[in-house]
Amino acid sequence: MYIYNEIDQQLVDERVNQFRDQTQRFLKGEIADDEYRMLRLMNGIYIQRHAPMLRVAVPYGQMTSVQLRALAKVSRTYDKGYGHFTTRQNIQFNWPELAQIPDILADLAQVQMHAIQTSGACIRSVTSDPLAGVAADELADSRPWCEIIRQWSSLHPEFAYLPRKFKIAVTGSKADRAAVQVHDIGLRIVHNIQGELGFEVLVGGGLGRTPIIGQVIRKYLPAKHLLSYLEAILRIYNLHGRRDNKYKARIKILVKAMGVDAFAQLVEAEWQQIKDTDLQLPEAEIKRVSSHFAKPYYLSEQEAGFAQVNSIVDGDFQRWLTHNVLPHQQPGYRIVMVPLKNPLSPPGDITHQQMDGLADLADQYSFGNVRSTHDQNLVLAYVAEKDLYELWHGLADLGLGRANHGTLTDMINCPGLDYCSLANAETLVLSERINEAFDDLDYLYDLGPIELKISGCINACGHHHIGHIGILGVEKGGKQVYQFTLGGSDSEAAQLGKTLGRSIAQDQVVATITIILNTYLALRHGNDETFAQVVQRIGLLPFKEAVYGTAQKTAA
Amino acid sequence: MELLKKPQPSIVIDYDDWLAIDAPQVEAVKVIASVDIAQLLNLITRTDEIQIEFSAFADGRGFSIARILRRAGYGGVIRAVGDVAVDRVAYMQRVGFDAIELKDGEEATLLPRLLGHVKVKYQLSSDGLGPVYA
Ligand code: SF4
Repeated sequence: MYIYNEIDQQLVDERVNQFRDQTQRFLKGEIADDEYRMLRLMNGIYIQRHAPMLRVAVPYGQMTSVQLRALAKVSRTYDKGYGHFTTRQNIQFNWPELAQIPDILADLAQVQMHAIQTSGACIRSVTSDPLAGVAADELADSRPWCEIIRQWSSLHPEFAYLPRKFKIAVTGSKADRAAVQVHDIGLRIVHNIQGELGFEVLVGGGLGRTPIIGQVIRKYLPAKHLLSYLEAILRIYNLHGRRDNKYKARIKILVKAMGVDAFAQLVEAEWQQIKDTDLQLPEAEIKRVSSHFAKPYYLSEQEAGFAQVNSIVDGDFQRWLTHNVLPHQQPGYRIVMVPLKNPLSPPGDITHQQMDGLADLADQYSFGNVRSTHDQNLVLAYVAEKDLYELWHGLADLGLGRANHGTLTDMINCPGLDYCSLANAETLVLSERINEAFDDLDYLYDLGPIELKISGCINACGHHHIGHIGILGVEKGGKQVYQFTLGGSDSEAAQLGKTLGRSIAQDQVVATITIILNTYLALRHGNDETFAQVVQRIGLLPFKEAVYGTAQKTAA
Repeated sequence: MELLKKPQPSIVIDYDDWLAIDAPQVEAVKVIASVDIAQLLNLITRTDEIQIEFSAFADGRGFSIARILRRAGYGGVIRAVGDVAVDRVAYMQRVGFDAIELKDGEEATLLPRLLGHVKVKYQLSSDGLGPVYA
């Protein structure tokens, strides 16, 4: 975990004061609305349907227990007692008072947190693999590079007024848990033939109105040139990205319009001018940042391990062990997924009691570290096998022990019409009904891994394009209806889902999902063929026939 | 405030008009954000001041233009004109502007306070500071 030095701390403290000054002047009527709008957005504040919303950065998904407790306290003191983890690993508070937000940020600065660039047309808070540093399939830890990018991009004077928001994701594993192919810039850690660490650089991916899978513009970038190369891409984008139409302003549209080769040439020419300047990362700085992510003091395999964990006679525990617990790179340790998919609240929501309780469990069992994932869950990443049973009891007591990780009900869901002023349709009512209809865990296990992703409008915050099943809310003739897509994927072979057919009425969504699932169960080759594999093999037609042949009521 | 002290030149010629008369040596030229930067870089020795027009608060191209001009060694005045609000001046100063013309209604007296807010600078830019790690 990166610990701020004096300079880092000074920056967040100064940013709080700057924002307090801006907000006070705005409340006195001294800053125009549209100007203050841009200033507040750059600091994570939206004006939502009901109240301002504050989005706090959880850079690349890493938190300490101390930070999680501070978030719990914010939700208790300034909000309604809960927070909402987003698909960008950040946390949102939906009900703060604008005048109090500077105080919230001051409280958070005391635990080395901030809201810098969590929204606005600037370089957004960087995301990464939530299993960085512990994943069994890891090439190298992505977190030091994320932190280096965080610092470089924080209050970057040149790139604060980009054509549109700009998202960077980094992964250090073969399996892509950071969805790098649907980011403005995706970075994959690779080694060259000499075994030296570098990055494969992808550009121009993204979801939203025009979903596009990113393309590789550089197969190998030596690590020391990371910042100069990012700067070159950003400068080309800042100068050439479209500013006349916000739906065409993302870098993906520029790359598509120019062609990836022409774009890469411009970047290359710019990069040649800056690569050997002070932007080149000194070895000492890479070492300094990396040292913050050293392995914790693991117990030996004999001390931590518990080979008999699979034979504890407790059915509920065994189910949880099978579904929510993943292998670890350290012998004797496991990774524990903590789904925030309570059937009674929106996906990603967590109460202040749960945050406090989880912070305690993290201290006891996971070196005080908690992580957030892009599918709106949390992770305890350093659990000794011998502690699993006790930890499970602790999680169950907090209502966080539901063994549905990776199943249909472990869905991604944007807040939709209930909170978001851009929404076309409700989404939370869907997750509620889906949870009600599919509450039998054995049935969910039989279905196997299925990623269900729901967005309330074309902005696609719920990543519906890359769900195995994607649902998009749209408005037609004053009614809320839903478009289904099948066959999307956010894995290393990312794919955009294809539209199933005409939109489905709200009260038919669950029935439609049921038909899709039954079709899958009927057509799969053996219990091991997953939903994604079946869709890949047989295409959409059998699903189309099943849905539109039998659904009684569908919206036109 | 240094940024406000540099007197406005008596004559400022629009870049396109300047090109139309084959870009003779002038006191000051005004460019817009969509200017052809490669072409401009060939002409920078012929003017003592380049004014970059911000047509809208959200348009950030001028920041990169100033940065590129400084990198190319331009030593004249770079002045921000147009939609220049006090809350953006700190970043303008960092990328290489050394003169500003505030739009109507902007309170110049606020500038010393606003410019002092964030002293930490992580990145290399045009203001002579290295990156934080250098
Ligand atoms: S997808 Fe649309 S409705 Fe959902 S959060 Fe994003 S903007 Fe709001």
